[in-house]
Amino acid sequence: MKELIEYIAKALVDNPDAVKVTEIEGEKTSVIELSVAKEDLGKIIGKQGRTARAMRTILSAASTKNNKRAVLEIIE
Amino acid sequence: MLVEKEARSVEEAIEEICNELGKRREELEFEVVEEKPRGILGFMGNKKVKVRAKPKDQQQEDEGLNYAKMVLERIILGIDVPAKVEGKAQEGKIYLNIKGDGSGLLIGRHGQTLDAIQYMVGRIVGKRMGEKRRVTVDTEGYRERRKSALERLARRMGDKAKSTGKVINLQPMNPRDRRVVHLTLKDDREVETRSEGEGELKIIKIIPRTKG
Repeated sequence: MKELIEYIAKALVDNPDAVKVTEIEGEKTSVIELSVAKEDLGKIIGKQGRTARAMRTILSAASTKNNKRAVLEIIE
Repeated sequence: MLVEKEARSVEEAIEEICNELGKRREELEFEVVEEKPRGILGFMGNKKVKVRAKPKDQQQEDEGLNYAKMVLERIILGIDVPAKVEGKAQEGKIYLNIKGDGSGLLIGRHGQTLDAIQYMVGRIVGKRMGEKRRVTVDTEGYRERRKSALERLARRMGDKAKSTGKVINLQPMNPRDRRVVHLTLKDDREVETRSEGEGELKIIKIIPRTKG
């Protein structure tokens, strides 16, 4: 799931090298932390948060398949 | 660059255009502009058709399509569903169809997963190609099924508004779904439809018109 978020984030931003994704695994839930270059923040959040919301929806489909809840945190 | 030719048949017009431009027909896009019968009876051979041709922007079209396909395949792979993607480009728009396992996981509640995937592919393709391309993602005929379900809902709720004389509020919907509801009821003189709310999701009110 981490790879999926990393792929999407890198494809959306101007500075793919600045994309960092870490996964903190818990027993039932894992937290995926995403950080990008400051000037790319708007690109992964999107208008009215639409891009971030789409990313979370896709992530929840992936976590349904994996039987594990995943939460996406965008680090500012 | 547009070229128009009038001839007795579409076939003939296409041939004339190809000869004139010195291009093969695969390199061009054709469109019949008008078909007019000559004389009162319009017998075959008396007909004239006008065909318009323009060069296909094939290279760019295919590049966008191939990239969109790849992006979608990559996302599905990340979700971990076995699936194949088919795609075509038409009039600048990209259509992708996922042949999946039929589980509905990629569709989600009211299609929200499919919409999120579609939006994301569109954004990523737009970013790479430097211009917005309309991308539609479908699976298992969902888009068409959703459309007919909404049309049925609109008619049923329209009837309810009429018989009760009360305003009916529908669930919040995205613009594409709302469009279907508005279009279904637009010719019904006994009700009026209105979108209300803020942002992407709005509710539709079906309002019975007072007779008289």
